[in-house]
Amino acid sequence: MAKRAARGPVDRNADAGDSGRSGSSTQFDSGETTGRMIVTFRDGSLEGLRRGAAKLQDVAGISRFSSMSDSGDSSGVSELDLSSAMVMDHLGIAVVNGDPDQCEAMLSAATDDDGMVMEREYVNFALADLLDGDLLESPGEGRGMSRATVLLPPHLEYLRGYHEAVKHVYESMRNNIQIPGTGGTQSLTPTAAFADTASVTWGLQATGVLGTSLTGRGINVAILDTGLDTSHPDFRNRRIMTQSFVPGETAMDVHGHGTHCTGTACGPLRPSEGPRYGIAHEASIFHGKVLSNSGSGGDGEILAGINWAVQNRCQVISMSLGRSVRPGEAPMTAYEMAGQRALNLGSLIVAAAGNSSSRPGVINPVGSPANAASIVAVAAVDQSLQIARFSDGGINSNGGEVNIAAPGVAIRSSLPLPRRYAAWSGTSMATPHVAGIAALIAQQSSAFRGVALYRELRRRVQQLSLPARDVGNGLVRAI
Amino acid sequence: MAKKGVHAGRTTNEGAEERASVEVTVPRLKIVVTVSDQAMSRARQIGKQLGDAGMIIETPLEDLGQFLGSVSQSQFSDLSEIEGVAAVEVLGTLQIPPSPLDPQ
Repeated sequence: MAKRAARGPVDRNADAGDSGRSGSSTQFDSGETTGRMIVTFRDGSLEGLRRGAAKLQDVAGISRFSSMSDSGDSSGVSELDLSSAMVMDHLGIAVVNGDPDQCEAMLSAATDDDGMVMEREYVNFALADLLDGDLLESPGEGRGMSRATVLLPPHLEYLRGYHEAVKHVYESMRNNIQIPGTGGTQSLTPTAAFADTASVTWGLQATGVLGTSLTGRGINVAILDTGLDTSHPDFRNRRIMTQSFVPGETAMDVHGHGTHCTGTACGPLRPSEGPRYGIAHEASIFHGKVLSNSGSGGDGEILAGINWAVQNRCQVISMSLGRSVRPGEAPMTAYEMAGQRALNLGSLIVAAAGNSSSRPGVINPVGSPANAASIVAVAAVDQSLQIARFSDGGINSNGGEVNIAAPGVAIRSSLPLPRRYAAWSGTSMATPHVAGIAALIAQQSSAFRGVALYRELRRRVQQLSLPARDVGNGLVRAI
Repeated sequence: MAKKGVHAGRTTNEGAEERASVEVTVPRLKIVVTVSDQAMSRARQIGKQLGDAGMIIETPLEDLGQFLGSVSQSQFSDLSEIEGVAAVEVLGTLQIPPSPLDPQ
């Protein structure tokens, strides 16, 4: 799966099955440069990085690639050998050290290539630009003095160059400067502000659900959660299977979380009141209660729920649950292999990244089981397509990356009677958006199963000008 | 949960000591055992070997190649020595991810 970070030398014999969705751009700017290039890969997945590395080798003879995740030390960037590159796999960015001919070759090739943005790295960056100037005022110096230009030590020079490159790319996108190869079909700027209307929720608008006639018919969607209130009028006349894995509790949803998540993934085309909030409105619903009425459950119940869903040939399994993990903590083998075997049997598992962050200051790693490489980790964005402040990030490697983002703030959906409806926030709410859209895609072609379904899901994303650490490949889209 | 009976003393309200039989629980770890890809075809046999090694299998997950159950702490490490076992892991608790905005 694409979640794995690039490790060690990047294998250039990578699977080229996933084509990048956009082309490359060559950005030029004045100013003294280090001689190094900063390459931003539009597809920050392992496959994308491998393709990019192969391209760099082909056109410029860049032969050595190392991963910052492996070295864990950004200072190595300033000591790069000639014809070598340091890949920041979490960011989808590489710093390449080439001679002038190699740099020119890369710049020339970038105009024709897909999926890469080339930037020269700058020198003599003013610290004022990096730190808003406040730190330039030494004791006794009054405000209003002209800013000094401060030469930085080598490791900060690298950060400055990176900062400049990202700033340039961001501002180009923000100002709608056309980047060759993007085709202009998907907005790259997070300027849109969505809102619920009388007819449809903002999440369905933002993900393009209204632009497709697909309904999820013939697709089995499993939601593993706190249960489902099948007496809710919005689930009448639906094909629903329920199973409780919680000892002593029926599959009836007392908590509300399971009915809310089921509503987003599979709610009706025309609800009994209010706007449409459900996506795969003709899918068959398999609700496995793996979380108790108090909202907690064991790994065993969840694995049993996955097994049940796979046995019932559910093409999509949605899990808005998890536990926090520590930075550096490895995923459980049980989830990694369960996810892989589910994929092999045609079931794609999506799971909530987690809500333990408090941005911008605190970004915690994607939790378990979303941190398994074979399970799709879903982050949450708000109505302006900005990362939700609680959404966990791709801090850990080996599966701990965020894969995709979806609406997860102020999401209206169904609740058990008599509450009926409410708007909730969380990566729990983002996850069923991905599940519902995956069901639509699975309906479109029987070839879209397992890994192929994940690839198609990823191919359709809308890129966001946010770090891959936060939103993975981008915003889930139905079309 | 495995239990064994032992005798312990207790004092009644009247102050008369009597002997009573109580049960003391021997802690067992709730675990999941994952069979390796190469050994999937003989998962049932591995399940029997796990039982022989002290695991009480509560739920076999055939499609996933996993067994849910429990084992004593002293026998925990023995399970991973069985050929074809990819991992033996202790089960934890998960929950709805808490949110600073809402309880979801």
